[in-house]
Amino acid sequence: MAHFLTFVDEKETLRKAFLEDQELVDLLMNTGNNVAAFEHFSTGSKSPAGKRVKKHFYVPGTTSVDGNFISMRGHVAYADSNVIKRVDLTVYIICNEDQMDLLQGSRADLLADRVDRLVNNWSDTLFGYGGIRLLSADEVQFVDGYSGWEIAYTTCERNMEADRIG
Amino acid sequence: MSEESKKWYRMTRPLFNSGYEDDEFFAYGQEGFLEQLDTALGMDVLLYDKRIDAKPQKLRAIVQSRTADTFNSADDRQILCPIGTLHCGQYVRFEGGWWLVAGIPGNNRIYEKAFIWKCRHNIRFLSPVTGKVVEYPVVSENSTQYGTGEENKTQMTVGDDQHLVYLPYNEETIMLDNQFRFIMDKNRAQPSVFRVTRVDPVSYAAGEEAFADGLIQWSVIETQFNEATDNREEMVADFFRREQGGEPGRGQGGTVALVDLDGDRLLTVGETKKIRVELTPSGETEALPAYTLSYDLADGAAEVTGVEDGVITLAAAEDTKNVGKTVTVRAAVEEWDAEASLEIQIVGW
Repeated sequence: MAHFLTFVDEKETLRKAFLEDQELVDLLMNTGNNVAAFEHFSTGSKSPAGKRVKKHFYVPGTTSVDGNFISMRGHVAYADSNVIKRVDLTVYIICNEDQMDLLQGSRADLLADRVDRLVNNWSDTLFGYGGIRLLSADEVQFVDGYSGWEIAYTTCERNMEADRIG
Repeated sequence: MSEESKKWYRMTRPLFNSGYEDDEFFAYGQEGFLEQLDTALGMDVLLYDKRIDAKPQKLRAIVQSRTADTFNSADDRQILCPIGTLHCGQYVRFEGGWWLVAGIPGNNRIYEKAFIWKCRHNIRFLSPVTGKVVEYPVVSENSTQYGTGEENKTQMTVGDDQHLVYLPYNEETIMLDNQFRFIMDKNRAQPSVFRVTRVDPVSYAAGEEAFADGLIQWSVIETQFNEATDNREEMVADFFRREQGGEPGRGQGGTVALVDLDGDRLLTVGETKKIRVELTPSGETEALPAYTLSYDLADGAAEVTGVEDGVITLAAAEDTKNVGKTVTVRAAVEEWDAEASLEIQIVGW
């Protein structure tokens, strides 16, 4: 997929993968502190977690409802061949600090692990050419009360000339 | 000294009062007030219990401070009523205007008094209890009074007005939580929409002894009018919702309808949806008639993967190019001469 439709495709695919994963949906939605006692929320496009997974760079304001979120941000790293471009997609795991500490560990860490298992893949990859590679990851505080992970993934996509090649 | 003499010694005898004045005063004080209400001092008011579609109580009352000296004092008046009439959060209507009983009423054993605030604007929204459009007069105070009302975002400037809105506490208003949107504007062509960012049902409550009374204070911030979901004719935000069913077909023998079991009439790329065929005969009948199904699947945007016990399973193709297309399902009952149709829109993730 050429030009910036790349990001439309990648983000939709990522959102679909997240919302279809039971473990990830449960980690986003449950407010208790014991993963073993988590309720199962429905998955798929009608999942209540749908409002928590954003396809744009979203950071909750201090007046937002308490909750945990995943958002995304695209970046074209370089495109010097006109055929292939390297695109980065940063996934933000944004957790409410009041809901951070679970008996099994930090909610942000558990969510980051789940995201990484779904995305960081060299063979049966979600999108792109040659697999999706973890580029970097940092723990960050987004705003007062919300912290989590900033995880950058990279892959290669077709650039503008690729359309002519077919 | 005898016991009787001791009692007399300790007793303080009133100097001026006979001791009967108190009874006299309070026996006739309240009735005297009622008589005053019937004079030119009193006026007819309608009292609504926390919502304006409630049945009003008509009574006589005295409204004080009617000749305001300043802009701000024009909003504040006091109402005097017979004891036991007023509750914080009631609406008072007189001279065509809406007023809100904002203070906790109190009495001096002659009359009951509370201060009332002028509701300068009415807001409309869909009731979270009934789903119907309801209207509430509110008191709104601009809390960005000396701000410009604009906020500079990275590439554009958006409205950034903040208000404090007061409305009665009841079973309906307490359901409206953060992120609730409503239209509040006199401009009906380009109305401003506001989003609730804080609900404070506590600071203006009336106490545990009057739990059902009190006000709710909202902090609201200006947000953008959404052409897709907000209705400027009704002045109701988030008005347009997709109905669960499509157009039912009414015939001579009964009605046929198609009901989307998800309730949103949206089918996401790569997912399935179930639609139920419902036949409702007009009269009593032993067996339901046969029906036929037909589809317009928008050039393969979706396919029917099964029909079992009157439930159709529709699967959307795994192709984002179909996003925005509409597929139509129809059910027809020839015997009743009735046909129902349901449109489902294909959406992306």
